[in-house]
Amino acid sequence: MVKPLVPWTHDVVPLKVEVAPDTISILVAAVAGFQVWVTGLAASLTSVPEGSPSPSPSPSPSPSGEEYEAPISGPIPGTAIQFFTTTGVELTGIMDVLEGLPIVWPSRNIDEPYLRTPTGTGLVVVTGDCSFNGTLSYFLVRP
Amino acid sequence: MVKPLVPKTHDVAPVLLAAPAGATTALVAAAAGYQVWVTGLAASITATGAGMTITFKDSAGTALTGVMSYLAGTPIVWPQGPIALPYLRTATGLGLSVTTVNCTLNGTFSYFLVKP
Repeated sequence: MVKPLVPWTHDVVPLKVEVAPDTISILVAAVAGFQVWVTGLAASLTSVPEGSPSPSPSPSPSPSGEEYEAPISGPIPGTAIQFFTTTGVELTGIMDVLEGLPIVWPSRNIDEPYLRTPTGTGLVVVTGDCSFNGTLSYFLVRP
Repeated sequence: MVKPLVPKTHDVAPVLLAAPAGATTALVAAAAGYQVWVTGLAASITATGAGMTITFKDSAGTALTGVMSYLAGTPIVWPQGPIALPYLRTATGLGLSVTTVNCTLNGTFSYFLVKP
């Protein structure tokens, strides 16, 4: 049995992910003293239909309703997503995924996250010409 | 495997997943005082029209996932994960359902009933 290396703040509660095309979206808001550790993802991308107007990238409000001014340049091209911290640090490259293919990051042990933000920063996803829908599991961890 | 953070009601038992098209199908009945934790899924999509989507919801109709679109015939596999790290988790006292649009969803999934 793997013992978690760090304390976690709560039981994991999978997060519903619903992100529109060409959007900068805060998935997990920054919390002072804590890191965001992503341990699983199950989702898919849906392309913007041809001929549909593509909105300019716009930040979405944080869960607390605060306007988010991300130091992230957009948009990203194609049917793709990219993860950042709330301070604009890239956590992944631009990931192209064919529409309709499952995006699955199998649920992992707590101490083996796929993504990990620096302390005091949250998690942001940027979408290209596609919506991003599914569920994501994370912990807030005090390192 | 990570030790469960909470007690479980039974050993995991994969169950049949057979959701017809254009409907919301109950997958796990609500149980007072318990949550449904989904820890794995293996299924495929069969198209009945264009624009196939599936959305997992609780028994109160609240979406637990975004509206996920898939290609017909694509295997959807959520590998069995640690008990404490479910892919889906309902609120206490609510069951699990799935809404399919223009497709059927067939396969199997694994879950626990958990008293938080």
